[in-house]
Amino acid sequence: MDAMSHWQQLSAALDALLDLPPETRESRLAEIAASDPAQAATLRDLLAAEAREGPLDRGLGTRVREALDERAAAEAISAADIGEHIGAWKLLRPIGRGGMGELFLVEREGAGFSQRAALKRLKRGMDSEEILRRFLQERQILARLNHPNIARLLDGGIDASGRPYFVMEYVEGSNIVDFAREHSLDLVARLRLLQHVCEAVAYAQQHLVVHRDIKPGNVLVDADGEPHLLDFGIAKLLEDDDPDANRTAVGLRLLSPAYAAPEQRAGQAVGTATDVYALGLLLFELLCGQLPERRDPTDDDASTARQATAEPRPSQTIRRVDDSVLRQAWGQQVPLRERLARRVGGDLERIVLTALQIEPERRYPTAAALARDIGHFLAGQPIDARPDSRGYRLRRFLSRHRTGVGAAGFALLALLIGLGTALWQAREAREQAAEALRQRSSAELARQQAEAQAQRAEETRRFVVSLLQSANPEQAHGGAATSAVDLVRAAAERVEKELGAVPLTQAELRVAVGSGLISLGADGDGRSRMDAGIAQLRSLGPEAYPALASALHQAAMDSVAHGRIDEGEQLSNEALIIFQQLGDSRDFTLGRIGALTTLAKIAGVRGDNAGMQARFQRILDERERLLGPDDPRLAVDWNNLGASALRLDHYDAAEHAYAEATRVMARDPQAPESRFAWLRIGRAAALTGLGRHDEAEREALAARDIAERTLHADHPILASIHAVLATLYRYQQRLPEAEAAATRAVAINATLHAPDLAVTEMTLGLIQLAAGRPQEALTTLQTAEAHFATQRNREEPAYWQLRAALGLARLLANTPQDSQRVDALTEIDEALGALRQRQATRGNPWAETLGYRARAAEALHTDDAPQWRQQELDALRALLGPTHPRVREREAASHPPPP
Amino acid sequence: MSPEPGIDTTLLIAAASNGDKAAESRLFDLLYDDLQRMAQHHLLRSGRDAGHAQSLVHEVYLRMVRGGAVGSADRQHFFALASRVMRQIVIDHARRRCSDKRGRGVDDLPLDALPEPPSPAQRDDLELLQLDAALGRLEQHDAGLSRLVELHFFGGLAFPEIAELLGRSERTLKREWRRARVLLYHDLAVEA
Repeated sequence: MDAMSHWQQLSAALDALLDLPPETRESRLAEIAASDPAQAATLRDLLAAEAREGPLDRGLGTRVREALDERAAAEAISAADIGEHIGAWKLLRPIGRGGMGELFLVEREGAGFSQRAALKRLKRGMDSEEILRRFLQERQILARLNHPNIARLLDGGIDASGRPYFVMEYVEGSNIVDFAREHSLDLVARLRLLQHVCEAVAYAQQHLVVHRDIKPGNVLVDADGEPHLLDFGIAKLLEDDDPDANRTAVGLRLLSPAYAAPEQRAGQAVGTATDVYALGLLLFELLCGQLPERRDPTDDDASTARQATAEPRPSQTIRRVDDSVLRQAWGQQVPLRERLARRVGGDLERIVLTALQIEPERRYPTAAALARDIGHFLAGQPIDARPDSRGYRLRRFLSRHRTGVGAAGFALLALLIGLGTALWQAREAREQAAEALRQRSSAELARQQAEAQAQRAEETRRFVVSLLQSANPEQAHGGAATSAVDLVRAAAERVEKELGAVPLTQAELRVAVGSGLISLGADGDGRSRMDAGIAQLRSLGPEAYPALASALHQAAMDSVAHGRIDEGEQLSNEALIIFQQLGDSRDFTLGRIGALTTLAKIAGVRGDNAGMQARFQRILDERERLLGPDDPRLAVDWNNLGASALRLDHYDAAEHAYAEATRVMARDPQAPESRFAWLRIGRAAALTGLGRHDEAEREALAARDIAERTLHADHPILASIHAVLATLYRYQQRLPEAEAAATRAVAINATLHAPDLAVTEMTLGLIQLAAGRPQEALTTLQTAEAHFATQRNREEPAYWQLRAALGLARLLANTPQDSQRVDALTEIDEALGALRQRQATRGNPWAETLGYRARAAEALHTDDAPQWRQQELDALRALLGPTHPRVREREAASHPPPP
Repeated sequence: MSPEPGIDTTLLIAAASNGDKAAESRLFDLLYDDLQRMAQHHLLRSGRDAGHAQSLVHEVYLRMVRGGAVGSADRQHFFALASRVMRQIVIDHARRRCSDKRGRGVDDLPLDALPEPPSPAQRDDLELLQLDAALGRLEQHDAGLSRLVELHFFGGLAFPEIAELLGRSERTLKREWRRARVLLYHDLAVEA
């Protein structure tokens, strides 16, 4: 009996035997032998092995060191290879070593010429399948790229010891930043140089290659001033359908964290915009002599972060950095600091900041677009990059949602979106085909359907790939770079002309092309193409329902982005209804979640907090069905629900939601600690509302500790944490602490231009008012009002609370004169009217505003002061319950205890 | 001294532990290189060998995380991987010595046909290679036991450390070790 293969049966019996003292083992063995002699025999053998001595008992001793020493010697073999030949190449000297390969300078002698090159060979012992695959992929990628600014592949093969190698152009030069310094390049020369680099990257992107590791060390400039792009070692093929390739995408993001784009650090999808980000950093470094400061390497979950931190502005960096840094960048001829800052400010700065946007969809979509805009700047023409418009802000607001529909902006326009979809469809179709084959009985029909779908997806894929291949800029416009919009328009024409025979594919691509044009800013054209696609999908019957629903949702997001909220809502609802009819498969559930998310955002834009909460609740239900009730990913949904409950002053519901969020999040051992800061501060806010002030303070301080430990000092969540603390302390009348916290919240939000700035300023103003400093409060509240008007929505009850507070501050700040009294009272009464009109007479703003009215009446010594106080108390009781500390505090204030 | 400048090994460890194969193979490379570099340092600093493996794996860990936050699942994964790297290094070495001395691979080396008895060092090498093969078989049947052997024997981690790492009692681990040892020795005897 082989002990290993019967291990499962033997294990328990062996354990029991080993536990017995040796003298009683024999009798136990005899018992076993009675029923199973073979097992008993094996056990006997095993027991005999216990007394043996072997390698496990001797330990490794000196072997580890010997092995490591020997390994060091083996590495040195590389040096011993010098002078040897690999293929036609003679090794001259080692020039570097990476994790998996070694790099040599080599030389090839020919008739009357000798050529130098760089030879990369797989390191000894690094021949795992994965490494081999990556090595060969790099070779394959280089083979398809033929561009003067990309190091060329010259040769490749297997050496005598069986290790694969390839030979590429050897570039003798300095890295781009050093080169610019050494040659004291001026601004224009720097931009030209970088433009060349962008064009090389653009060329690779047109061949569906994303470099992913662009950094100064990989951009060498030769003696003629020509830049060369090196090291496609972790490049990615956009057309790669291999799921493992995506894993690689995640894993290798770690190679050069300083130059990694946010999505690489977050392990999210990588596309052409990822290279754009790295090029933006190169440009930044060329201008300022250093990378942007305060780049936040910590976790920043897009679904919970209020506002992504933008990169600091180059002009400010130039004004701030040390002389030595500027010298580092500009070499001998450092331009005058202020002059340089002014030249860099404006359009050039906008180019840099557009390339460095946190969200990939807000960057230049491709390296070509960046190159083109640098060209515009050099030629003194208007640039394409735009500051945020209202529509853009809305679009961004909408795109900041989890389901990834907003990923529309990723990569090379609609073409690649179409491609991605097609590939995904192909995979789905293949899986369906396989499934159909498994179920033989009704198989034939299903198989045919699945094959038809697979074929359609394959057709789409081929078509899109052919579009991309034909999109070679040199061919298109006699050397002038094709604009992205032209490219997509050309694709659109081909969709119209060539796909008439496959109406479903045509309709889907019309929508995709439309969405691409929209993401490029050609909104009108894009939308009409998308609408045409939608109309066609409507005519195609049930087969087209899935595509129709998702197209409707895309159109809805576009409508909202252009401020047509009602239209957006109608389209989202239609999408939702179709997705509902389609059933509960994963994709349709995801579709419903997408539509509901847009509807929730629409409700948010409108200030319809109840509508938003209802949608978040439905999203949670759908996701719970999809993921199960304990999945850590539900934390986001509970968090959203908690946030909307807070806005409705539903503190119980909010407290429950944040507690649930914390519970499911805690089930994920990998969850970054920083996320708990969000959940704990949410719970602290809810507890404040519930009057459980001590618990609230504990939670808030815990959140603050986490955030200060794990995030950078200006992270938006810290502003929220300080704001909650400020409000809590204000309710507790701990005014100095409240003011300190509010001041910090305001400072952070001001740096970030966060929409919460107005609210935190308002909190500070209220604290100053309570502290008896109405003049200061007036100034603060006026600023808050201005920010509220530009950044938020006047439909929010908080806005009218602010207006009332402003009136009160005006009243208290001035010596009472009749006209001001009347103005102030009018302002407060207007606010009360507005709240009543918006049916906001159940929330905290209503109660607080009644309190301001009472305070005003007291200041003016009018008779109705006690009535207002009573109203305030009633409102607080209705909102918070009779035992809430704030209610108690108001009661004590209006009925002073007998002396 | 950082293992390789510019690499965030904490993230790498986390990614590897999350099942990212590319990150894992990258980490394996780094460990292999780093262990070697450190061995040279040790060699320069002292001639002591006792507990060498243990201090190496630990030192590599401390260098790689450099105070970064590493979750317990990631830690487990790291030490498992580092121990596996040590195994690989030791076995590669033994294999090379065997083939160097004989001019051919160990697989062709029938023990009973040797013209002269192998030297103690050669015997140790062979024994290790056999242990490695037996461990490979054990892994097929009980991956938990083979991992324990890797951590303790190759990685040089003491039982209390492994107990803390895996969140299991030392007593349980020692019982498992006893089982693994019995099974491996039995297997070695059968295969020989």
